[in-house]
Amino acid sequence: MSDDELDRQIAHAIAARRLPPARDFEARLAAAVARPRASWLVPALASLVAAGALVVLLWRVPHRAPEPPPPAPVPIVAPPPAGSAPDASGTLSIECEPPARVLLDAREVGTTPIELRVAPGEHRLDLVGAQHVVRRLEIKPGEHQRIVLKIE
Amino acid sequence: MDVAATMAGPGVDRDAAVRRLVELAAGRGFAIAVDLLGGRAEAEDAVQDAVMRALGGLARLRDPDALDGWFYRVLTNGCLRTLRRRRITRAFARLVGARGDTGYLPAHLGRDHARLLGLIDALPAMQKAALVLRHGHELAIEDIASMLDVGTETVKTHLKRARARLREELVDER
Repeated sequence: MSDDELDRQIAHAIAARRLPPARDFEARLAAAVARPRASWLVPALASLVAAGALVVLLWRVPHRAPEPPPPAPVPIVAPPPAGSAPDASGTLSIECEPPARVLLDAREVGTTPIELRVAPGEHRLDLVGAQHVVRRLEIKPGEHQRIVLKIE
Repeated sequence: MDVAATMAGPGVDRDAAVRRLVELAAGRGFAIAVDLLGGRAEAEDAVQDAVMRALGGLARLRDPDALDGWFYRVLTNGCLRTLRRRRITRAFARLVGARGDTGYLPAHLGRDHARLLGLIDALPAMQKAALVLRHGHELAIEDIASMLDVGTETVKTHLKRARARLREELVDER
């Protein structure tokens, strides 16, 4: 194919695809160009937004409450009675599905799963979650008890 | 962009410039944009954007006679930006195995025209622009060079490469 023939085909192809402008395009263009827009409007709006953001920021910063520290683990909930050897404690591990709040002898000690050192003797264990489950248990010195519960 | 507040440069009547820009935009401006970009909506956006940009820079215009060339240069630059973005998008689509935007090819086109336009659309942006302005609008090499902001020899090189590429692709397909 000669250069002239190729050029002619290119010109025909381009012309064949060319779309005319929409009938109202010139009018829309003229309207867009003529549309009065206040020169102060955009900067004024931007300033208002910036000022608002600054006020909110200044208001929030001094009032922001500090993040509460994570609850400290309670390794020994029921301290051993006076006079008993400290190493006489037993351990109690509790797992519960779904997780539940754990109260040992009416004191909240955390959330399952949890492992506690517990003084020997009788104790009341409350698991408060989907249901309220109460267990009475006896811990012997040095004993490890594991409680696994599934509360339906 | 605040058109109402735009000031024309000395010796340039702003109202006359606005009227002339709208006239250029709706005529040859739209034709150039639609030839380069393919679709009507994209062409309208490009033309309107070019008019706004041209009006925004009217204060820098000293010679009223330079308005036409200046507008076409702004418009062509905008279309080139769109073509380059589109090329990147297509490359990315190919990379991820998706089918990218293949350009606008109306149903009424014959098979030969559609094939040729598909090849023209796949050319690098500058080659396509040079080809469209030369053969679609019969502009002089000097005018194309001014619109693309390059030298005349560069335009000739783009045209030569574009033709060679098209010829090669057409031969390969036969």
